[in-house]
Amino acid sequence: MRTALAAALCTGLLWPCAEAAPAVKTLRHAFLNAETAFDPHAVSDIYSNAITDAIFDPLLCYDYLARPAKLKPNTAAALPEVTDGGRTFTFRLKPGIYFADDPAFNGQKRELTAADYAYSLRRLYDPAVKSPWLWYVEGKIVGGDEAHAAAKKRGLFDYDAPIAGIETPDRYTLRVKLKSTDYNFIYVFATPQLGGMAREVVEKYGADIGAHPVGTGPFRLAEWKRSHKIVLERNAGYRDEVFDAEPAAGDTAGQAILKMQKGKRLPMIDRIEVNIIEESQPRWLALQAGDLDYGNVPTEYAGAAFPGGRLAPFLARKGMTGQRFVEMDLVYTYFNIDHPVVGGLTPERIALRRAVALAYNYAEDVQVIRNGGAVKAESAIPPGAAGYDPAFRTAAFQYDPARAQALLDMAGYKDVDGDGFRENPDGSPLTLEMTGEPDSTIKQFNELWSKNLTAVGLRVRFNLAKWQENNKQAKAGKLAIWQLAWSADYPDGENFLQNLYGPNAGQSNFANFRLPAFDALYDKARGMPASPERDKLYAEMNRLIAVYVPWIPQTHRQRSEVSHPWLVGYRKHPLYTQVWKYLDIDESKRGPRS
Amino acid sequence: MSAVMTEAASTAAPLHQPSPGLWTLAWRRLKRDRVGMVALVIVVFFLLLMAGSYTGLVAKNWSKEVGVSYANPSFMAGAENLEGSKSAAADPQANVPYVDLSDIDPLAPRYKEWEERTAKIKITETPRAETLPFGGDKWGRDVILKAVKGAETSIFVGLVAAFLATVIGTVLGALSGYLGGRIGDALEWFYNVFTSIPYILLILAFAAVFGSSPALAEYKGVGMVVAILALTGWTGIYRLVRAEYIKHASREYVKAAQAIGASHQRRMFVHILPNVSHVCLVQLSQHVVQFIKAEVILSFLGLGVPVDSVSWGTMLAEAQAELVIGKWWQLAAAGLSMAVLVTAFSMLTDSLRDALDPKIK
Repeated sequence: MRTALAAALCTGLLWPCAEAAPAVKTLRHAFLNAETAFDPHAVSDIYSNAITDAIFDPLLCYDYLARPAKLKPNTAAALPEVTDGGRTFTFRLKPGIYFADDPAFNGQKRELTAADYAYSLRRLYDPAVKSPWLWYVEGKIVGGDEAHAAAKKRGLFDYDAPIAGIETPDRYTLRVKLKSTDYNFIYVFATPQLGGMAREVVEKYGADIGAHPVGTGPFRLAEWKRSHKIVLERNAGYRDEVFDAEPAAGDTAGQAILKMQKGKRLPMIDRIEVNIIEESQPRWLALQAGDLDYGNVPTEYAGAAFPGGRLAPFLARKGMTGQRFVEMDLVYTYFNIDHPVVGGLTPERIALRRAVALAYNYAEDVQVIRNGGAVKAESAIPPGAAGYDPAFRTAAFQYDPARAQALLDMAGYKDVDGDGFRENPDGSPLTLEMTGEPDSTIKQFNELWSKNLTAVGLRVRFNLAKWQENNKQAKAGKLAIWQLAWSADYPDGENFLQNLYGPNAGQSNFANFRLPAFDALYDKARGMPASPERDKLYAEMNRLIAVYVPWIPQTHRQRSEVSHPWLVGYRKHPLYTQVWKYLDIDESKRGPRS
Repeated sequence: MSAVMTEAASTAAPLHQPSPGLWTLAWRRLKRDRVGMVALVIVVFFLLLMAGSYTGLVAKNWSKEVGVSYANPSFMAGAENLEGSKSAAADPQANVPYVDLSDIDPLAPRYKEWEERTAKIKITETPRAETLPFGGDKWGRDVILKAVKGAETSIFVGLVAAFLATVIGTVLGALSGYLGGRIGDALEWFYNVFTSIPYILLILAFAAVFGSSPALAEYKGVGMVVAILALTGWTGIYRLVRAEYIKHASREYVKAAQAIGASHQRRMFVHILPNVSHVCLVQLSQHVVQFIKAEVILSFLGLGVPVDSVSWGTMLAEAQAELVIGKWWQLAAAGLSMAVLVTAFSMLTDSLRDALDPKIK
């Protein structure tokens, strides 16, 4: 009793014992899919990447408020010195940046050095890591492919063996030499995969490194309940960095954020709690109730949240603000070109895939499923990315069931047994196997696919499994057809087209599309700076996609972001999944939590 | 005066009038139960609906998209429908001419034939109604027709799976309770293995086995749902029936049957079973409801009804998201149908139990 009274007195019920401690600024957010792990070289999903992006520090980063996206130094002292005709990148690091504390450092402060970035680059080549990001460096860095091949042969990657294209002449200098000019390579240094990684941490945790991410970024992993909850805390030893950005002069929203936040020390929030909420309805209700501080409005509710494109009054009354824009992404359905039913480059298989593309009702995708929260895609490159051509449109990706039926008839896919569904040209049964996830949104897509394909006489069967399981199967080349989305890693069409580059089959090229003409165009474009000439090559690649249809580009999603009034300085970045480092929270405006 | 038996009196009372059987007596008692009869009429109505839907007499065109997205019910004709009032698709490049592919297209030599074949195919667009009698779903399908078609799937799954589970549970329970001994021990062990696994996990395990089997891939859908539910849902029935059989096995009427030479099989299923039938019926009714709900879970996991089919479970799952935007009619249609059938079925079972119980005269 006495203890309770004393506690009551001290907690300020009667009078304050001491000045109240500042409130812990906690950001609450939700992912709609579970993370996989936090080894930046091994994970490829955007949710895991969002976390690794908060923990690891790449050499470069994008300006928070500049539009279009603009690169700037992060841990590098300046943008790299590019020499040798665009083939050599030399970075100089800022000294005095330290890793977050970890037992692997034996109680010592561990400074970030150029060797940590060299280690990250080398790790991409390590066959044991099975990095889905190998394509970032494969065929590009001098000596890298040879090291990769040797490690494959020996069964072990030698991290101490020199690689001619990765040099660290001194503690703070990293030099990367490419085999040939690649104008997009600089963007790789702004991805979390190229964050500085301490070798001793990786060696200490071994196979469990995915659960022990240790970086120099603004946050550190404090708690992880797999597929349920992730908690990040401010990295107490984070370097001295203050808010600064370069919004365009006419960008009033950006200028307002800059004025409010400029000069504040980063990060401004202490703790981030991320819950996994896969179903749309509870996520949307939690967002409205203030249990989540910001988020994208699920597609089912985008129409109600932004009627006529403006924030709904019921949200505005809560002080919430909204942002709507087309994302630099692509929702597409891929066909596995190695698959015995839908794959191959013979005219009848091309016709089958083309017919599927013509049978799909893109307008219903946009209007009914996404409630207007998307724009139809006409090519593999989204608006905002270099190489996007608003004048590119092909007849291959338009809803035209009559043309689809005529094409199937012409290619010999006919209903032989009279059951209403077409058979293969050789008379054998034909069933398209589509992969999906068991959630309410994908169910709607499956309904659309089902009715559209049935209307042209194609039988379809849906195999449902968790996204992570499908991802594994896709990498192994076991899926026939799967609808996916690709968000830009960097603002260039090449980032999308590389998914169909032959050598990337088995990595990012789930379609296993290997077309020499496409690969030749890709190789040529990679050595060119952004220019009308390069755009022509991109257009040629898009024409090949329209002809051979390894992908059906469906939509570019429109982001419908809402945030609560206590979240300060939030603006969705076109490339970053999260911008937690730049956010602040005014806890006094937050209502009591239920 | 001596009493004289008249001709009329002797013919009015036959000497060998057969006594009414168990089912005749049960039917007489049920007829006297008004609530039971009302419930019976409702259940029969739903069964007829299921049969009509199966044969295509009703709700044949349930999947036809006749209204705008989320078409309002007719009695809400003037209400705002943001989802249904959209115009043409948001395609900023809709007016851009197509790029030519003919120089790289392997199909180019057959372009002319393709166009000619296309010209012969006519696609007709159905005009969409702004309102439907009880509203439309996201795709503009009539919710009433959907509920009728959904009844077919849900009642079929609920009834057939519950019937199969009851049969499995009753037969195994009868064997275990009546025979006992090593057969009883073996069945008890089998029962314990099943019940040691949480029910939902057991369903998931069966679902995973069925779902990953290439041999069964063709049979995914309603049949698989029924099989999974029947194979996992018999344990409760088994336990109760076993206890009843242990109790009845030593009763006089069973010993009397034994004395007149009735076989074990006859004693188990002709003499004892009618006396424990009320237990089976109650379990059957409970499992119908339970399995209709379980179908929702399986559908959600991708092992339920196919996407081109509908059940009350899938309707309720869809309604979950719709309620937030004020579209309540799909929930009402599926929920009311389900509530009426489940209530009627429970009441009918209750009445049947009373009608069949030999102790209640």
